Amino acid sequence: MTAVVVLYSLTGLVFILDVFMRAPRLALAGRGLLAASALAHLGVIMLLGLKMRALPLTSLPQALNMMILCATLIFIPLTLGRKTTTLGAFYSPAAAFILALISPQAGLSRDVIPPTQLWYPLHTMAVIIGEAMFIVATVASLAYLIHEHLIRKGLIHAMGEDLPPLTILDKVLMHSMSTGFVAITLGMLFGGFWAAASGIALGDIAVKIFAGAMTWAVFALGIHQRYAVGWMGRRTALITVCGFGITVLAVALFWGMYPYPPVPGMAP
Amino acid sequence: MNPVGCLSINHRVADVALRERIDITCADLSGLIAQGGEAYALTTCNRAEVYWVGLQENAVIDLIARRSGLELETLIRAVQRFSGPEAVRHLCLVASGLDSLVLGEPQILGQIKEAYREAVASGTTGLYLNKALHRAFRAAKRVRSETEIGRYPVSVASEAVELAGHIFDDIKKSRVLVIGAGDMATIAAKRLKDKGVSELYILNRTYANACALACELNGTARDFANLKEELVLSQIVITSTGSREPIITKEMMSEVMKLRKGSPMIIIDIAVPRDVQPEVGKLYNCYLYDIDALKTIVDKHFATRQLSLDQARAIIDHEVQAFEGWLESLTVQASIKDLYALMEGYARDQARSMASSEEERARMEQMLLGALKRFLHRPVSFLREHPSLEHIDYTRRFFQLDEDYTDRHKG
Repeated sequence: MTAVVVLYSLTGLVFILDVFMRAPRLALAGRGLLAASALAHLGVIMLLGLKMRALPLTSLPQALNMMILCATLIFIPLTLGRKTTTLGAFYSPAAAFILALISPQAGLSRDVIPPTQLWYPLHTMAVIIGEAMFIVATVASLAYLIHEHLIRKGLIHAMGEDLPPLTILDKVLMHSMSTGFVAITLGMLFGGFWAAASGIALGDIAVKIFAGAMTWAVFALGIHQRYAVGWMGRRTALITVCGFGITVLAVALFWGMYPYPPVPGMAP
Repeated sequence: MNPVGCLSINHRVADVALRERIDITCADLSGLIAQGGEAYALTTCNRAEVYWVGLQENAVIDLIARRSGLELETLIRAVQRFSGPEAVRHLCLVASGLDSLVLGEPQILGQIKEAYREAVASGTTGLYLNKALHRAFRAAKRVRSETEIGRYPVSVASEAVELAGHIFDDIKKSRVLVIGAGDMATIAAKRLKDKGVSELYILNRTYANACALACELNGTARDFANLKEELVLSQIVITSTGSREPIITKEMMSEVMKLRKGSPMIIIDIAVPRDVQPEVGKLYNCYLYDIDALKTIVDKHFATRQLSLDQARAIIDHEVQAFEGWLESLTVQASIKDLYALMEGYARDQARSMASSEEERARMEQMLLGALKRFLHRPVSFLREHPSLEHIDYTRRFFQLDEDYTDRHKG
């Protein structure tokens, strides 16, 4: 896992250097390193799964680990685009930071009982894809807010030379929000089926419901305001960034209370 | 010794009334070089220059005076003279845009190349001027790629286009509205046309003027009464009318932005007094730039260009030195020496890459050197027997003796 964190950090460094030095070779190296990071990350998760003989999604750190991998797989094609390469400079350092935080706890869990219900992996994967889209939307939003500020202040040549045009960032934001909204909605439905089939009381998974509902609400609000009210760009970006901040805060606050697949006869 | 001479009548030493009377082309110089020599002429709105080898300065001045109808004394007072390395340096400075009215402007290089094509067609340039011009092209390319001189736009129109590119994904697909048919708006609209904009609409209080500009720019004229409807449909708006009152108010734009459902738009207001109320810039997703805002950005770019000047001059010094080095190498002895040095380098590299021991390397190097010397013997003998400038130049070009290793091998 340390190697993966180092690879992501290196990728972030190369992409940041590219923003300031604007050297095509750096962009190429950044793309290569991001692909290498994704491969190494996938390898680590597969090894963990083989050891556990189950999908490595039995704790919050493991879920975050999987979420980062999903987000990386979405960012790889984005960084291949000439105008969107710089998004790698926003994403890779953040990915390295989150992985460094969770890596001590993302390994093999004790008392792991592989879930027998099909709803559980479906629910988890849908939510993870939705949350990965949330990360993509947040990165695009941050880039949008920074770029728009630079454009308004007339500082584009000083710092924002290679940032993607606002309309592209808005497209990335809206596509990721729309996909994320569908994924989270499905995830919540599958989660409900899983809880019902496993006989879990709603009160036992209240924290989980809260975190899911939070993301869903942010997506719903963003999409509604964008399409119904016409909040193209900055306001939707602000909603996304604030929503992401609140979700991260909620996850940090309820870190120990986050329930995962129950051991039969025990509370989740 | 460097034989290049130059006469320059440019914006530094001659006013526009004098410059506009001079129009000299390479074809005009053909008569001068009938008895031998080389010549090259460049005429732009800011300069008229003649470069030559093997001609008398007075003959060139006489020709310019005859062609322009100017008095000889007036012309003599208005020319700058350069000779030898200074003439080549001046050519490099001009090609790089460092001698231009707008420091670092790129158009001059295209004009120099166009004049060179004309010179080649007229057969007025030869060994020395061809080499000097290629050095100048190389210097200009290096100045553009290795310094910040040409990095950022320094005209209001170009900056406006640049800003639009930061908002819209593909400017070509944007709908552009030009309000007013003044010079500034026309220049900005032309820049956008150059970028490939296909939808260009022109609005003017005098419909005939709108039609004239629309014809010029291959756009579409619209009636001024449709201003609001046009604003709703357009992404890029350039306005430059002579109106004393703002023609685009905050109230109007609030309604427009509502109808656009918040879709972003950029308004470039280059009119004085302004055509757009400043409060419009505070509306959601409406990016407003007036002439002052654009000038502030452009001034910063000028400062960046000034800072890069020393770096650009160093590049030009290097290229002038390279030209001087080439001049010195235009002897049989120097060329033969360079030829053998090239072959020794090849033999050394080849032996080093193939041999497994030091002893084997030395033996292979000796063997390769022997073979290469035998191979070179005939061209070297020919060069000694026919030591003309033409043969020396062909030999140097054939073996690419004037370029460095990386230049020779980059394909």
